[in-house]
Amino acid sequence: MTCDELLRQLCDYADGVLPESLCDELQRHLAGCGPCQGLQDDLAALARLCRCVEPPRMPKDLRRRLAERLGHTTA
Amino acid sequence: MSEGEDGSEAARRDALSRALVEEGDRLYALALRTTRDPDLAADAVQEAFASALEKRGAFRGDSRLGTWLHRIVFNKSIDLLRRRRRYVALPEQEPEVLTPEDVRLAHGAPWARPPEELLLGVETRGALERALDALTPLQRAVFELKEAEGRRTDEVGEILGLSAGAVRVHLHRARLRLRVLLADHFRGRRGDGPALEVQP
Repeated sequence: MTCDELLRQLCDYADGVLPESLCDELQRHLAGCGPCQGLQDDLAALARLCRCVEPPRMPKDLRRRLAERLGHTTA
Repeated sequence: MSEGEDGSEAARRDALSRALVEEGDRLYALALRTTRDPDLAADAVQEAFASALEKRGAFRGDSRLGTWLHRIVFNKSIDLLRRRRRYVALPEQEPEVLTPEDVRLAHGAPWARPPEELLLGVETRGALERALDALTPLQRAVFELKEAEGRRTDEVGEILGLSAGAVRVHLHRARLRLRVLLADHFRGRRGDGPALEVQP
């Protein structure tokens, strides 16, 4: 597997849908390729960062307006 | 019977009221991530609920009410961006494979290994929010649903009208761009060396 081939398989690998034989091939490539391992490490760090992001919350006045429209005074 | 499946107005209002309580924050988050504008996001959510109230029985079937509402909110968000000429459909919406541009971005310099307290700190989260501005509305929507909310790929595809393969490619593309956009933040500098230009 070349670096570019690995890149094309990485999204399926990250989503857990890459066939097992290709997973083995991909992991062998990662073990022997610093740049690809660096990319994989960065993407893993990015995923950890994303899980810490505070989700935006619906403003209270918007929630109140919608609840009133739906026929409830509170939601 | 649930989610207003009997089609009566009262049942529909009750189902939507429950959805507002249970899904309200996520619906607003999707609209805000997609539009990057609190006023447009509020309009998108309001229009989505208005449409849901009008479409008698439209959420019968296989789709969950929450999923269906997310789909309407996303479509309303894109409609509002288009009406304000802030969104032009890009070729990126069509292919399910990575492009040469994606490959180019992947060859960017790796991050300096940030310590965990820097990686997950407030400044980095601020840098991530700024970096999200450089993504397309569709990439941001995929990011919100898959990366931030952790939804299943097929569910994200159902909301955005994409195949599972396309969702994976858009998410991968968004991650590659965010990686490049955040690289300077982790090096503690901005613009003092060659940087990869990120195109949508």
